[in-house]
Amino acid sequence: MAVLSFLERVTDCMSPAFLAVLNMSAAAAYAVIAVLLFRLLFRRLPAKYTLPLWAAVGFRLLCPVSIKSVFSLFNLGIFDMSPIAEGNGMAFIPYDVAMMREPKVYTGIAAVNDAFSGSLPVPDPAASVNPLQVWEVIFTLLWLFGMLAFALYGAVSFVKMKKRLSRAVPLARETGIFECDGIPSPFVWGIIRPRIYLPFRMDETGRRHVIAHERAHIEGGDTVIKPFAFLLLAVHWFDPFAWAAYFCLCSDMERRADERVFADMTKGERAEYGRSLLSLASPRHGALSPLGFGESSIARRIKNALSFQKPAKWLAELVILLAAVLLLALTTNAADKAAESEGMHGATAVPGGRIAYAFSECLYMTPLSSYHVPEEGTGELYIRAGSEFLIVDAATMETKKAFQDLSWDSIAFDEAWYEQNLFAEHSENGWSLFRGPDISRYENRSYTVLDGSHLLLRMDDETWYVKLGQHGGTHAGEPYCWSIYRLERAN
Amino acid sequence: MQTYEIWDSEYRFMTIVWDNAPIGSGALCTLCLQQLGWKKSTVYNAIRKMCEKGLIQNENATVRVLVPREQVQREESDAFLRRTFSGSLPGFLNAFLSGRTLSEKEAEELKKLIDAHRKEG
Repeated sequence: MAVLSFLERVTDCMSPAFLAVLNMSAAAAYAVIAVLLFRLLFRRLPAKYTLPLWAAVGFRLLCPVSIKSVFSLFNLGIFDMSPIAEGNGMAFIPYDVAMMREPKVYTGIAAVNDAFSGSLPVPDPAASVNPLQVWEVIFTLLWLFGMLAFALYGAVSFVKMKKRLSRAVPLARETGIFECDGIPSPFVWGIIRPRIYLPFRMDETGRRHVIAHERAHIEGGDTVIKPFAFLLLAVHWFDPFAWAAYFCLCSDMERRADERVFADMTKGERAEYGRSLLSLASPRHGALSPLGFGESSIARRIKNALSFQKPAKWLAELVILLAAVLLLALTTNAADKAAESEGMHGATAVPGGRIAYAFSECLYMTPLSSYHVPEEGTGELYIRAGSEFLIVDAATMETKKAFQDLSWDSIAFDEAWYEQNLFAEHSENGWSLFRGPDISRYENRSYTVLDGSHLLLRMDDETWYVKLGQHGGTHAGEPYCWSIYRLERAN
Repeated sequence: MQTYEIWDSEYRFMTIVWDNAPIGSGALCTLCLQQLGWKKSTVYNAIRKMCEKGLIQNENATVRVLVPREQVQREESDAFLRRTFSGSLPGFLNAFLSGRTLSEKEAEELKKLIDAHRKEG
């Protein structure tokens, strides 16, 4: 049992972290797709123009929040970020997903939300445990074990490599370059003081090329970028987009290092370089490579060496500009929509997503009612989430009432409409004495229909929640105002 | 004549021993640090290995040569071809990323491609 309670405490702490990582993965997935498309579009250009874009992916994988800007990719029409935006973060998976009566996740594209949400188990109120809570615990543990495995593997190979490199011997007169037994190919090792390790007995030309290539890695900062990217991959190990990004980043770094080397070479020298690459890729023992990517990358690198051309200046400048814009688009979050469409509930600029209101004051209660709102309020929270407006029990967070598929159209009204529709005088029934709160002091007035018997009024910067009753008698079915609550933003 | 095969790095170590033996193991450590940048533990590992192979002996902290230079060959340790990853992550990733999956035919084609370019250039 001690183990179980320990696990419970671990998952209690780590579940929010796991959800945050999931949300970062989701945000990064869009960045990965965009960078891959950009890379595809400009694949003929040197890698140094597309490589910096991976920083956007790294940022998304590392940082759950960002500033909002009009440049954000998520401002595009196909995206509906309103249920996702949460402060400066993005909650594709709501942090309380395991507590929801109807669990929902969001993709950012409204049309495919249901496909994802539909696959989630819906809690059975009669059962003692919500299946989604169980899944949350299981996946959190899996995630932790995955990271542990990465850490162990990394540590073991680090120690092994360190031991192997301890008997490396310096190459005559060259500083920072060593020869070592038992290494499969040349590489750079070390972050602070990177050193180049070569297998023994390379031929002179090959060695010259390899050293130039490895030096280009060091100069390009690849020895720092790669371990950092590997750390991010260890945290996002379950995310195929992160793997794709990691491998593409690594191959881009290879290409950039190649291109640094042969930027100043003549065509003939580049052919020599290609020959060195070929000699490093012995066809006899290539089968050990555990996964192939179709055309082997060494062949691609050789062809790149042969066909490399510096791009025209105008093209290079254009791509740098585009890349800068894309970087901005991928690292910033969707801007808040204009106040007219979004600010229905309170004038404070409200980020898309979930806005919670609490009862503030009862402005009106029909004399026909025997109910009086208690001093301390209704004990309810009123939550706007995307196309929904929910009334939630503040204590249990259970949804008591849900208005769905709202388009949030707001319609301006005047005092005449107000009197006519909410406080109509039907003197024959003797109800003419009921008067609603005076609204003449409000300048901007509009209403939104929640359903046939509920309205939200926006009165300047106030939000009023209106319940309607229905007349009987000769005016049967016509609505009249039952109660008005003024709502205030809750945290 | 019996010949002994040792690795390249071991050969470099043995060169120092041949040049200086008999030599105290402490002094050997200093020499190796200067010339190879090796740590003490690496040197003692190498001494132990060479003793096991019967090339040297280490008695009373003095290292003596048992087999002369002429009888020792550097092992064909062409590590390029060997690809001994033995669980090393960088080695594995290196091979993974460079995707060294050239077939004989592919290599031949690339060779032709390069040769064509060399003539042009």
